Amino acid sequence: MRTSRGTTLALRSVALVYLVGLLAVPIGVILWRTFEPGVGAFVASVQTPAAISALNLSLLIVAIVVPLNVLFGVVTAIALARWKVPFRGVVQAVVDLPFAVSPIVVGVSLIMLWGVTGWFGGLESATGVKVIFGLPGMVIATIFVTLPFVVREVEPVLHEIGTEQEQAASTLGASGWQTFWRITVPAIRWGLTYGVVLTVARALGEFGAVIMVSSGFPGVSQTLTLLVHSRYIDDHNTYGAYAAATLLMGLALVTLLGMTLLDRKRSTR
Amino acid sequence: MTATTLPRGDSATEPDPPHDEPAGAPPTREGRRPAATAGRALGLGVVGLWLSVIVLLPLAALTVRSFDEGVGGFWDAVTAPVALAALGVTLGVSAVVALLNAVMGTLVAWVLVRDDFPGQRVVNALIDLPFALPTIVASIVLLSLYGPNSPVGIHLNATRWALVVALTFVTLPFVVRSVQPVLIELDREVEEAAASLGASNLTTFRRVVLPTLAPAVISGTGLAFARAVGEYGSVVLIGGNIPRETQVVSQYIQQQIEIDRPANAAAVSVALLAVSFLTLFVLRVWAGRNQRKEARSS
Amino acid sequence: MISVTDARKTYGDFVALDGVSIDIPSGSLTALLGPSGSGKSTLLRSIAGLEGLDGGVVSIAGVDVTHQPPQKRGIGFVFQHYAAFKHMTVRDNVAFGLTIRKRPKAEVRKKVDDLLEIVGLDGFQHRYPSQLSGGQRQRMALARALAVDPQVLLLDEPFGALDAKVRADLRRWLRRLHDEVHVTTVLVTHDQEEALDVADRIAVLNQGRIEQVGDPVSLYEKPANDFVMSFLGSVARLGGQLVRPHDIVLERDRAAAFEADARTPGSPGVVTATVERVVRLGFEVRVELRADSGERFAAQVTRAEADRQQFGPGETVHARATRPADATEVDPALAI
Repeated sequence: MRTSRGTTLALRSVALVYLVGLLAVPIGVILWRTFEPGVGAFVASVQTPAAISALNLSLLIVAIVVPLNVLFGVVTAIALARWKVPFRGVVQAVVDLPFAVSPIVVGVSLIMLWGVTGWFGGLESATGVKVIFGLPGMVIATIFVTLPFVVREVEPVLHEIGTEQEQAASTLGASGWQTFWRITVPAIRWGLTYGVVLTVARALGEFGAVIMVSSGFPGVSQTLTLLVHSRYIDDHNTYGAYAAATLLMGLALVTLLGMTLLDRKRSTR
Repeated sequence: MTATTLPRGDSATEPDPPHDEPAGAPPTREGRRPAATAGRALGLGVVGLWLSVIVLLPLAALTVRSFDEGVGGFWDAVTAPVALAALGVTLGVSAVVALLNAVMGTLVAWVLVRDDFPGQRVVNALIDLPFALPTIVASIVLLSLYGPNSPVGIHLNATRWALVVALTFVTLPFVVRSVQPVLIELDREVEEAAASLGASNLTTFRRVVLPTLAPAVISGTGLAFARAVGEYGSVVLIGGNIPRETQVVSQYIQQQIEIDRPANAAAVSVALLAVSFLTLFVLRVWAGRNQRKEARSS
Repeated sequence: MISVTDARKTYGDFVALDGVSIDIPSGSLTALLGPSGSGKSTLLRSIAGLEGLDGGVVSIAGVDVTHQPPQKRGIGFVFQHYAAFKHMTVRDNVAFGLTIRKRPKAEVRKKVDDLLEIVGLDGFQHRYPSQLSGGQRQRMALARALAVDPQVLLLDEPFGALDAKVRADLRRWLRRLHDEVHVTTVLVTHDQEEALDVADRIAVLNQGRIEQVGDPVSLYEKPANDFVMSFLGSVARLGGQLVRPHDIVLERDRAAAFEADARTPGSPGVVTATVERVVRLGFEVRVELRADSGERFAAQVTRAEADRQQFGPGETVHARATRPADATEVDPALAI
């Protein structure tokens, strides 16, 4: 349908005003607040020992979560796309489940399972490994919320490429492993990369599930998101919270850029 | 990024892929190789164990523990006045947010697909920002504009409007990203046919375009609602957490853990889960029915 | 009558309509014929108002509609891919134009049922478009376009998406329908057979210009130029001229060929050629030849003629044309 010039302009204005008011202006304000006292103040604020330790902890969690998600995600995707899986529908639903669960509920569930009084509470008293209020809890919480990404990006690609290429490789004498590394992996690499980028973004940004299972000590068990929260709530350090948020936002923007570029790559593959 | 981060409501109802070997079929090449079969069995075992430990067991523990004090205890925890109030605030605000998303999301998608203006690509990329931005950052970003030191003099801190703004922010992409592809694929000739038959733009939109977009709008709206119901990070700083006023369910649950009432927290968590699942279940059934209708008729 | 005067339309660098003028008489069935990119669809869509012109005038029944939206032009438009309203039943699709004009329900119902009967879809009222075959969908689209009693019916490659058998059936059916309803009809097609079969007037377009307008017979018999000739039917190049393959006569006897050729003024002369292949196509026989100059061409002869002369591969024959197609009486200047 061809809309008149007036209608077009009216619709465009409403959409842009909405997006500017909801997205652009708030982000502009926080940037302005962060950099108003100068770049030096920002750098100093994100270089305090607590901030550096928070960044390190966030990156450590990412470094543990990503390989695990890639490994198990790819196996799950291959199983769902290629193998005979009993109760396929149920498995599909379980893979999607983390999307539907509130982060707070994730935290509570993990406490109920891994906490001292939880089902697996004996593990902690037996080995002394603190899951809840320790690094393992934060890692498990992050895996829970990021579990679907790799599976959901890789599985459709596997469906799309079909089995012909893999069969062709096997008729040419390739072993199962050779087929996997030479045919399957190159085919899924962009989908997998996209899934990893989503995983990284979510792992860096997760707050609700992590705050429930972290002891939250500055310099010890605070991730970047927990740092933003505690600076604002506990320390009443509003500027510090803005600065840490800006740092996280920078990471998010890099992710977004990566997603946009990858998305183009994926679709023109 | 497209709707890839959204839950795929239809995946469980998907028919089995065509290359799946039918039951009772003669064994395939791989099927006859014992090594491959063993590998698959191992793989399936690993997948099952992984999904169980990470996803199923925690949720099972949650559900069982929520009945620690019996069905009565569960019921008392869920129907405690403050818990009910939090549930009410959450559902009410989420419904408003979902409706706002339905209208504005469709409008934004329309402008992004049908309009053409400088900077459109930037705006299009910006839509995904709420998905990329950590929720706590969303909260503080909105706080900096609408909080106590608002530079524009709008003080929403600790009001229900703050909840609406925060939840609208984090759910913005759902409707836009589910409507956009449908709008791109839309057959423009159908609109031209309506015009050639004398329909005005408004009539064409209402009677021809909207019915085609409706499934995408509804599914995006449903996903936005499900997300809003469980949201925590984006409301934690700006919401105020005032019981019976602006406290949402996730904040109530977090509070119960803090004051060491894990059974209450578990019970309300189960109630919250039930709301999310019900929303997604209804969406899935409805989408499945639509799909079947389409499949049957084509 | 539809009248288009000096229509111009460009898309960026591409010239879709380069000063097109055409009059389409009331009650006619006119085909706009041309290769893709010739501007035929653009011309049709600008008559409908679905495309705005950069310059020129469109008038329908004496009213200048150049700046009117499609809603107000009193047209019916049928699209190649049906443009069915997928969420509506067949009845609601056909009724659409009447419903939005708020006609009384009973009248709408009667009209829709009558039309569905005419297009042979009686009993399909409650089906959805996706439950119809391609041919049925297109007939539904036709009924939908006719429901609003349009002054002109415009069809854009209406049978292009259908398979050959259905296509042939539908165009005969369209011809009959037109003889009954008599609405001024314009049909866009790239298929010369379709145009010759269904239309009473044909306009041949090429590169945004009209090459020739006329009835099917005169276009076929007296094409204005090489483009029209080669677009309407197959051609062979004989002695530098374009001739129809069925106008080529093959003789084994060289003297007889020259003698007969001398009696045909303006002929391309006798070409000596070698038979490469003889293909029997039922009633006709195609003889594939290579001239001594190396140029390949094909002649179409009757089965009786082929049997009489017993052509075989490798043999030498003498080809001449009974009627040099270029030497048209319409425009002798074009005869080389």
